Amino acid sequence: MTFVNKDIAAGIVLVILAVAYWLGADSIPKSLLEGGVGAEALPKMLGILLLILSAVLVLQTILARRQKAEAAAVEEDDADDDAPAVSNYHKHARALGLLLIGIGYIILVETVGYIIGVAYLLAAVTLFAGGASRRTVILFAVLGAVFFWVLFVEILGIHQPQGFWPKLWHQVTQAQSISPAYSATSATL
Amino acid sequence: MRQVVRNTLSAVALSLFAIAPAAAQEAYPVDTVTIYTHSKPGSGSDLFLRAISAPLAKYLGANVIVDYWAGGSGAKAMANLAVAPADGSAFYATTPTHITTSLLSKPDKTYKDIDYIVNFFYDPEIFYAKADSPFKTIKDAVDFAVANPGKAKWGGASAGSLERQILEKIKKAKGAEVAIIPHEDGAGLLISVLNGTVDIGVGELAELSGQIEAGELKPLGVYMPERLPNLPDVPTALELGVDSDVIIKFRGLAGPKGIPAETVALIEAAAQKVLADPDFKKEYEKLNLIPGYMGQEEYRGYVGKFVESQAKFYEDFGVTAE
Amino acid sequence: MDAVNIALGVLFTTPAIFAAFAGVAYGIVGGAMPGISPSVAMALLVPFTLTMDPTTAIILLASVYVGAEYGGSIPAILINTPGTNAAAATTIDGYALHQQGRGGEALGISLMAGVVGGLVGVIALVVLTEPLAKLALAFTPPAYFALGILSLSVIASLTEGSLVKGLISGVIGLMIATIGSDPISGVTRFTFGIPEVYGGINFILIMMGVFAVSELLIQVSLVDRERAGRDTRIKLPSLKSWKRLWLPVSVGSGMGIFEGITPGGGGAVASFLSYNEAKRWSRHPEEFGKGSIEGIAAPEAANNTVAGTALIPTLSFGIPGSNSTAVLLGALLVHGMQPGPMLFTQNPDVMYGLYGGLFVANIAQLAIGMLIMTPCIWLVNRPKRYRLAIIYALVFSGVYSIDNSAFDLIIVLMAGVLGYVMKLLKFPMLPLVLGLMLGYMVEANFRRSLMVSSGDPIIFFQDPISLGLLVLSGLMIFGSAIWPALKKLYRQRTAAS
Repeated sequence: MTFVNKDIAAGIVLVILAVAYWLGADSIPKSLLEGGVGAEALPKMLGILLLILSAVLVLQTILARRQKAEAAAVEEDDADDDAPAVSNYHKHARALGLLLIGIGYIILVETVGYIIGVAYLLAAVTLFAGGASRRTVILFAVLGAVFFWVLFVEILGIHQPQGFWPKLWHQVTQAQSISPAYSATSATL
Repeated sequence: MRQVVRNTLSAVALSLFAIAPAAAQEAYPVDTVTIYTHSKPGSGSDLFLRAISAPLAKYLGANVIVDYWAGGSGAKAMANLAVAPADGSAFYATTPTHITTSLLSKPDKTYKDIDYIVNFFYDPEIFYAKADSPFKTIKDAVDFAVANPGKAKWGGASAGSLERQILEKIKKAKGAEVAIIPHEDGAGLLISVLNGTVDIGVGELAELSGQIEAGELKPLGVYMPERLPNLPDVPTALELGVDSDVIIKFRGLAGPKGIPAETVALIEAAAQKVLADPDFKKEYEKLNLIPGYMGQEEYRGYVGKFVESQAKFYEDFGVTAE
Repeated sequence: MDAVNIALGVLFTTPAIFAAFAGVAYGIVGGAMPGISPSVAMALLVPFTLTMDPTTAIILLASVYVGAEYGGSIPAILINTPGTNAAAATTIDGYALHQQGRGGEALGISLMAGVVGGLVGVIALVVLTEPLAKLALAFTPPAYFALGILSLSVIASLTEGSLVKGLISGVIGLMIATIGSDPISGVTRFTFGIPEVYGGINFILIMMGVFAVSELLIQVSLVDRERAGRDTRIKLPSLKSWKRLWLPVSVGSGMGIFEGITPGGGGAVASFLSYNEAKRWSRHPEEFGKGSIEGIAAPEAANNTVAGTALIPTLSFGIPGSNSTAVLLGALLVHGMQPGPMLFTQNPDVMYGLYGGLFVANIAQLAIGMLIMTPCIWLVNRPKRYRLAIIYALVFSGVYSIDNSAFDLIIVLMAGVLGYVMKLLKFPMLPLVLGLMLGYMVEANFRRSLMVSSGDPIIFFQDPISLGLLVLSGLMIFGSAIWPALKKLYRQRTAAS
């Protein structure tokens, strides 16, 4: 059992969220096109609803805690539940690590393209989530990236980010076609 | 040696990025022209581009491929186009959507950062009602709305759509008291007209011609400067005095700024040949598209006017971004 | 019997049978990729169908739809990630069964329920098109509003544990649904000036985040545990299981017929509603949520039935009820056909050929489903480090395909964090998904209705469909939330005295 009950904390955060959301709804501009019920009506209602519900959650939890202060601890963790307890900071750190790997992918894939991005992702996650020998990881990442590329780009025909390669390629070909030396060579060949 | 390097490089590039092999073409400044669309694969705009790419390739003398810059209703396409090479290799398929996006969601790059090259088509809009409606023309419907305040119900497509703007414009001009009810899209509006939720609707003829042929719907008026070849008996809104001016949906090409004038001239020439091509003509007439060729000068002016009317509408009706 | 002759003629004289098999196989693979919805899978094929003859092209696309609706249940069961929106309800019991080492059985049930549901859908399409088309037209804005409310009322009974938490989760879903441009006036709400969310947040992104990414975030710190009695191949349900399954399959198919014809509803609503009903009528309601075979059969039958009946409004009015049927509509137009009342008289070969093709596709689904399943199960049973890496890459690749936008990847990660926190605090996930799916429909139609009636709320009770659905939702909320609470209170009172 943690010092502050997690439901009470969540309830308080939600109350703040509800107020912020309501204020956001209040600042939605008025429009002559909105008809009888305005664009802000449902959002405002939702804000109030969330406020009430989170207040109920807080009160409910406080009451329940008073009723059975000692039994509450048992309720905390179900045996067959995978989700970590709130106080398990080590596990949150692992989750954060995986999240950062994902952010890294988003940055990489836009700059160096899909294949390298996927290879990085596969290698990074494998190493982070248990690891393997260097050769296995490299093999898995490379083969995996090729597999993903074949599946998504070739078979399913989906466009994936290409990174800076096409631009580079374009510049290379541009430079070549301008260069007189090059034109001369290609003309003779 | 250089040739070898270049061949290897292009082989790698081809296999990596699956660019269609460029046929040896001399006529156009580049081998391959890519037309980008923000519409999804399989959507109406996408299919239209695929239809036009073959004749365009023929008359331009270059490969024409269709690719996607989806996301943000054209915001991403404008951002990409603004920095694309200005050599005639990259174009954006324009529809009014990107202008709406520019005005309402205020992205970094807007219609101001790109340039208009040629227009191909107009998408004609018509007013329609259920076959058993008491109205014969759109004028009857407008007169009814003026005479019976609060009784009439008109349906437009999505919230900020051109279809809705047309109705709001007429409502304001005639001082009618009428509920104009927006829908998800043209299909949602069609249901509302068929089940009597609204009295009349406005939509693209292409979406409605099946129902009109089957006798479920009747056209009440055409929202174009002139009557349509496929609906010769239906009067225009101008003829009926319902509106004094029409805003029309367009389909053309935009490019990055700074494309050389000679290149633009080549595209203008090809566009005119494309529209005159007899095989392609059959195809687009079936899709109810009206050829509306405009060269660069005219197109720039047209879009400028379009932007003005849109901006004014949003301002008048208080539709603004946050 | 002309129709049958035409259908058989098409099947045996054109590559239609081949198209049906290929379409289903492609659809299953596409649908099984998280993020690739049936409509995306279909849209990707459209360019290739332009050169085919119309009948083959349409059969191919419709078969992709059939296959993808089934394919969506594979990741739902094996990795707790619905491959399609409609498979969201399947995650509940499907993944629970997989965790108990009964994944093969779960896949078998979803396959059989899907095939039965699919066939029911085709039969409804062939036999009931006319009356169902009339019913589809009767749905006015108040009726859609009521349908949305009915679907939302499922939250009350779907929530295990704290009802308050379930409701909070639903409200948050509705809040996310308000992001983007307002359905009536077009002004932007809660977009913070980001153009990418101007059109709203695609709810498949949130689903990928709260289901798939949050699961990865949790699993990364778990020990790779061995599961006893792990299924390694697909198991079709035995005759004995069928005794339990016929009811949920019928419930699901019934819902699917109804739902398919209401444009905008789509398979996801049908699967949630039928899950809820199957639970209510089951003899083992206590198993639901903990690995009930009925909890898989009902939603899977429903969403596969929808794949058939959703074609009714598309073909008879040219009104697509979902993104998938919109793609099909586009394909019909390109091939020079005008969907609408004249379609059957003008192009009988295509239409009856399509019916025949859909029958073949549903049979093909059985065979291909069995074939594809064993490698899928093998794949998810790899050591955790490889499995996590592959799922992560699948999610990113699939999500990118929706809009070619890296911003979507960021949204998915944010939704993943949201899902992680919700799991941590034991907030149920499904109400969030329901709220998100239904928010737009409920709000837009509520406001549309009031515009039609000039602000008079009586319109919701004048429309017969709306009235019926609202009464039904009232009963449902009462039956699943208030009634048990009253009973409990009564029991406490009597126990106390």
